[in-house]
Amino acid sequence: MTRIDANTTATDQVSGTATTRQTLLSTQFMRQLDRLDVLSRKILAGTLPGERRSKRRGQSVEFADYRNYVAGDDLRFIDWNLYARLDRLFLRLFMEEEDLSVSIVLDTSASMDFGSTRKSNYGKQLAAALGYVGLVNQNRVSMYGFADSIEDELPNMRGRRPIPQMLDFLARQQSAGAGDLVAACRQFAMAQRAKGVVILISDFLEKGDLTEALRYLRGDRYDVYALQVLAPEELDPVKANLAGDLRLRDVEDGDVAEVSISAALLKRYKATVQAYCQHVRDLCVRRDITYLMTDTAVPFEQVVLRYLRQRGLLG
Amino acid sequence: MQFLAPQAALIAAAVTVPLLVAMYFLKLRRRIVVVSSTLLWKRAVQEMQVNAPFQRLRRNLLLLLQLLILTALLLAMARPALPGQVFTGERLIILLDHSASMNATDVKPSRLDHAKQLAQQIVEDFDGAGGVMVVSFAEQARVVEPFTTDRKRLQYAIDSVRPTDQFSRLDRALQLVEPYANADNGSADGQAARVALCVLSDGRVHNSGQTLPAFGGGELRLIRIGGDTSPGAGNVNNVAIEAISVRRHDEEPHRAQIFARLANYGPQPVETTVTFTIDGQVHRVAEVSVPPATSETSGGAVVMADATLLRQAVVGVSHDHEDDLAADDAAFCVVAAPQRLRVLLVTGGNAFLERVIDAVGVGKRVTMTPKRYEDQDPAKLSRSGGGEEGFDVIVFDRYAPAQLPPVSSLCFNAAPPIDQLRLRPPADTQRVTVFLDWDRDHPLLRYVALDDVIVAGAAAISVPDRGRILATGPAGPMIAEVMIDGVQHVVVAFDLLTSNWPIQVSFAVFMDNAIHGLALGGQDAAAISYQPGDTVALPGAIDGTAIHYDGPAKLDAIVERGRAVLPAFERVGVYQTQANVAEPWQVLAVNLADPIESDLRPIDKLEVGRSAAQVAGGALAGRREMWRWFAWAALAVLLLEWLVYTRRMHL
Repeated sequence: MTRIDANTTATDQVSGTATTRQTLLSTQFMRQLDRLDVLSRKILAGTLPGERRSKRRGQSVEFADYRNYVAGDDLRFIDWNLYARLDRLFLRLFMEEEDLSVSIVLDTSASMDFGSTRKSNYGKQLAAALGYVGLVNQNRVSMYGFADSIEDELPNMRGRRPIPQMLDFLARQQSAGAGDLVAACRQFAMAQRAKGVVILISDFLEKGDLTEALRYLRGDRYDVYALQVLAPEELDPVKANLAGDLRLRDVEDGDVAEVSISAALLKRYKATVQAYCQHVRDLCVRRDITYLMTDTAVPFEQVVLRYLRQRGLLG
Repeated sequence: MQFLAPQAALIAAAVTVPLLVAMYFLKLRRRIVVVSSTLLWKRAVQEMQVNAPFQRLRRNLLLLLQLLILTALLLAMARPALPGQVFTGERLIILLDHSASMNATDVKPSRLDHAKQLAQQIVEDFDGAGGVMVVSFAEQARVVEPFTTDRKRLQYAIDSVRPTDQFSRLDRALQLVEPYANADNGSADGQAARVALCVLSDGRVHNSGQTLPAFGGGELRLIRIGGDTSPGAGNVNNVAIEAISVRRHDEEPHRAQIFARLANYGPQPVETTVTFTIDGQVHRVAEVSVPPATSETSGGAVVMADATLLRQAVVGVSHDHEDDLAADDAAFCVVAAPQRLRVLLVTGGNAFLERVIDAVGVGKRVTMTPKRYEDQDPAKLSRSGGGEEGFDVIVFDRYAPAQLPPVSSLCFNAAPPIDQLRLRPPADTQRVTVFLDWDRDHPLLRYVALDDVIVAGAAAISVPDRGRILATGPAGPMIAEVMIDGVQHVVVAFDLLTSNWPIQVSFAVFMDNAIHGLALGGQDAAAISYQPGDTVALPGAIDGTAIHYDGPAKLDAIVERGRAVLPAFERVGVYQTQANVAEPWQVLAVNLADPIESDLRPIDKLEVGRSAAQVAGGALAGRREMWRWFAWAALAVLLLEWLVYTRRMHL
């Protein structure tokens, strides 16, 4: 496992492709990921045959069901043995195996460039791991980076070949600009019409209407997973040595909050953080979105190998 | 509570309070910190303000604490004080006793130091426009600082008062300040300023048996130093060597007996060890039990020792009891080498005097007529160094010398030429008179009974200010003494031949006392010691010679007209000189030997004039300034403010 030095910037961390690949995914970790696959609670139809069962009856070898023959059906799928016993024509149906569309939407706003272990780097590592799992299992993986809109995308990757390309994509993502989750989700929903798994990696520190943002991801088309990444310093400001009379400046929009740090305020802040995370969770649950919050102090390998499996995203 | 300097505090408050508030709001330069989002912070602050209605107040806690500190400091600047027992009036005279008893340590560190502290407090509290005058008194009274309102000078003056072992002569101090009592302070209405008099003393004062002169000013208050217990024996702890005496044996002058009297002023009997020393060497040690004091008198014990003194010697007696006054724990005397006195009798013929002088054991008596006396060289009349020239005492019988004799003299029916000293002839020369009163404690009249003495045609003596009346008749003083430059002159105001005194035993006793006493400047014939305040006139050969004594204090004198007069002794002890001074004056012994100074028991009243001065305890409840408390409070709040600030900065 590779930990990122909190004293270096995200730019330093991701500069250089070789370094980035090594940093984002180690070889040993990739071997562990080879045993996993992206699961969906919903059986979603794909566009290309893949290794996943589809709702559609298809041409795989796996038997699904019988149905009565109607005129026009393919005669090759008539079960003649059954016709011999029952003297009726039944058509054999097989499970259709399709590919799964996995969209990983990564927040690259300036707020992600925060924390002793940068949230942006943590998010990239998660995205890289999930993308890797998707690709090795012949799923159709798309990557999106967004701040106030989708800034960069790498769509429709399949198979092991585009893995370096995916890692390079992640490496070049810079955390900058004000985040606008509403605009990004709207833009994603308009662009991604295919059904599939959507993994949204963000800190969800959204000053806009978070409800509206998540509303774009609801519906039967998407099986959405929301991964909220926060820094330990955001959960407990004492770790950031915040004390005294401060003028807090928002890194994204320059907004200023004047606070006098006191024990009461810190207590109140922690309660506010907990309440906000609970709020995000409630919004997600209401929209059938699987929610997972993690802070960057937790090794991302542990998140991938344990928590995402517990949540059913990986299996 | 009152404020002694409210204007200064108000001015400072007008400047600093707005400044502090302005600076608080101006100085709050918040540290800029970049965070990922202010979303949660703003929500937290909003919830805080909603949930804590006094949050704004709490946020300004530092300002409140700083205002509190400033308020405390401003109040301290205003010098708040609790009103107390202070002196009123426009002027105040402080009489500060620095006599021997004020060196007692029953009040720590000493009575004098305590008195000086109280004096400082009184000066600090007094705010009369006319100012304060500081007078110190012991044997003599001295104006240490005339009237002034400069507290620094007054405090310095009070600090400059040094301890002495002299006697406390409050009467002289009162006489000194009396002119100030009703002095016009130059006010427009021409009325005299009210003068308050504060006496800081233990009350053990010498008043020569007379009532202290009244003080004509305003309030007179004695602040008693030491002995805060009720009058009586109390917790006094002092054992004194009250007297020391050495007598050579008449027949064998090298043998001597040493006597010492110990006095106990405490309520408990004291077992102590008395040590006799001769020239610094321990001669004898004796265990003595001294009974406790009663309400009227001290407990006493007499110790004695025999010694062989072939030459002049310094005899000392000391005890080792730990008590509150050290000055009277030892006494010394200088025992002159055995010698016989040389006495000159100037008379036209008086068998009584010749016989009685021969009878008192003088070495040589020379009789001269007045005419022959006047032909003598005055310089050769003085005997120096125990030589065979000159005389120790000159007795004038019915003849007044033209010049003041250079040695001690005893004049019968004649007065030596001393300013203001003269004999007033009687109105009726045949009138018979008797002695009415005499000073029984004076060395010359010790054991002298004058009850049966009848005198015809006695004159009255006009005694100068520095003279002392020893005996008084109906017409006035009949025996008096005057000390001129350390030389003692005694005048008897009648002719011996017109009285029956020469045939009385008391005459022989008087002559014995007088011849031996005058021969050594009023001292005992064999043992010489002085008391603090005494002055000594030393015979000196060469004018202009400096004589220096080392001892408890430095003494210097210059020989003038054949004599060197030392300044008055201030400290007890043994003084020695390396100068060429005749025996026995090479060593001088000064002893306290005074029951009034040794008696440390507190007094309950002090008679001044016809009334008793108000006596206040040593703990003067003066105006108490409170600024220190406010300063401490400011410091405490400053610490609290620091704690609050630190708590905010290091959560």
